[in-house]
Amino acid sequence: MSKGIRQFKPLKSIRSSIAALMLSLFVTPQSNAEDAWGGIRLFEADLSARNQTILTQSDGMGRAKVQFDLNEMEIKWEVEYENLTSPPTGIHIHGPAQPGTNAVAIIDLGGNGLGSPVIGKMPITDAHIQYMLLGWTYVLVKTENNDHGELRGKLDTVPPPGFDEAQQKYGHVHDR
Amino acid sequence: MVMSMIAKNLLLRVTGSQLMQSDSGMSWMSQFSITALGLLMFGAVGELSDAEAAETNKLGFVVESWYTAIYDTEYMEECPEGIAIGNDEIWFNSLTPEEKDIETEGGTLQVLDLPRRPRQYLRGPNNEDVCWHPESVIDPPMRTVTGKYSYGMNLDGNIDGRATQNSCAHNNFTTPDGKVEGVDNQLYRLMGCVYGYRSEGYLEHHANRERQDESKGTILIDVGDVDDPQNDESVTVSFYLSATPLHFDTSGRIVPYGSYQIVNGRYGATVSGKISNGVLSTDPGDVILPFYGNDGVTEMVFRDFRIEMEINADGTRAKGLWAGYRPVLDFWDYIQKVQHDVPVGQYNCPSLYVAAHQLADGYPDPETGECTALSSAVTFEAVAGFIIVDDGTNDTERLAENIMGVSQ
Repeated sequence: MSKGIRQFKPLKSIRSSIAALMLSLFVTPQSNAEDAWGGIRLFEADLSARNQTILTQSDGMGRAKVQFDLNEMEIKWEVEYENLTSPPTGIHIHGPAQPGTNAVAIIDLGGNGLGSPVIGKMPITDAHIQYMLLGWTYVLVKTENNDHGELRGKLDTVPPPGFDEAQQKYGHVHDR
Repeated sequence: MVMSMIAKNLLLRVTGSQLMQSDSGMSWMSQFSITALGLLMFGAVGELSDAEAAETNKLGFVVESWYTAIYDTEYMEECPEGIAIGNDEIWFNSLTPEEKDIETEGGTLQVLDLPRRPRQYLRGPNNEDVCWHPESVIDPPMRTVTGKYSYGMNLDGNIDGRATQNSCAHNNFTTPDGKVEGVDNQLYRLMGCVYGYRSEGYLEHHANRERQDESKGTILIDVGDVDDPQNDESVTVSFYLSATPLHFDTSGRIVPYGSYQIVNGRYGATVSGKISNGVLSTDPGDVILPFYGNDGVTEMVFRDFRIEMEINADGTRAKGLWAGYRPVLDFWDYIQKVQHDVPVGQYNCPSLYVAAHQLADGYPDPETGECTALSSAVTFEAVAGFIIVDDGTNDTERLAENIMGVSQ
């Protein structure tokens, strides 16, 4: 096995461990008189070569989760992946770019190392959080074989805890 | 005769200004002096007959800008599902990896570039344009507003959101200042998470800029039967399209008290109202307003239209809100005519079409029971002006030139 790539358990079993880990990272939203969701915004991205704008051959897959805390103006993230064709060389958030277009790297997620899961936190600028809220950012996992990016996924907003109840009272329930 | 009417309006404003405090710092005597000079310049002399007095008891305004009333917060708390998904993103996600590389030129072709821009529309099963055939595909549900607050008015008279004789059940809003409950604004719920319509978006800022730069789609508000511009229990309010280009000063601001001729034979709906402490409000009525913006030309139909407008102390400006039910078909006509806004505004027609019908809360179809109109609200600002309604001396050639920009 190449250096830098761990032996992965099947993704399904990783999720339960990740969930436990996430609980320690993603704090239950505190009451915040100024924000309906306690100042917390959640984003997730499915990482795949299929999401790339450049034809890329890879069976790799992964998932990125990012939490923005308005109260602290910082983000926390966790990125996990498997089955890369070669060792990762960089994991970043890119933006601003509408989905299906390219942009430069704006946030380095691999500052603490590139081994999955990649975990970290850092302060964030208002501009960067606005890009994320507008759906103009994506996570890109670069590897030795695919310097243009092997796995890519748009960071999309995830409804926060309490959304279902709030939607009944203050929104419109879709026919899904 | 036009000049005489202008002078008579000046006389009314002098009378009114004596009762108002002036924010500009001018005493009413100073205003009177200037107006007296104006009267001399226009040669208005002699007493007014009763008929002439009635004719001059008017206030006029030209709408400087208007926006779909969108309550949005900096961190999008009203859009917990996220910003609305754009048409291009849906198109992109439908492509194979090979197609993505080719169609986007490796991600370097931007959303607005050719040939990407038209191709994102033509994704029906038979290459239909999905804005003109929104039912040809099934797109993800529209991301709509989930929130407590909205600008707007209580159109159906209740605060619990239940169905009434003329409306369907839906969740209500409260105004951000907490003063009005039961606000009906389903158009905001529909468009509030669309990037292009939010404060940081581009569409309506650009549309307003176009309306001013080209003097097209200029709305005139003609308030008649005014005995007291501060308090009057009975006035009439009419809405017109201006035939006259906007009057600007050297800094690019619309000059107060410019004269604006209406376009004859179009618009002119009238509703009844009152003025209370300088705030004009009206009873409900059906009104059609002109629309021009982002290269689209159409009309805005409002049922149960009502307006609330606060006139500032010196009478030169006003701002307010109008609200009413927009028939979904009329709204969709507008969406189709500004289809080129789709990639810029970041929304998609099929999802919007379905959601517009689902969110409709006014005027149930008598056969199906489904509501056919969307409650809506618009914020606006206006500048005082002299509205010249047809007096039989219109120069049609001049009107044609003003409207079409064509020399006769």
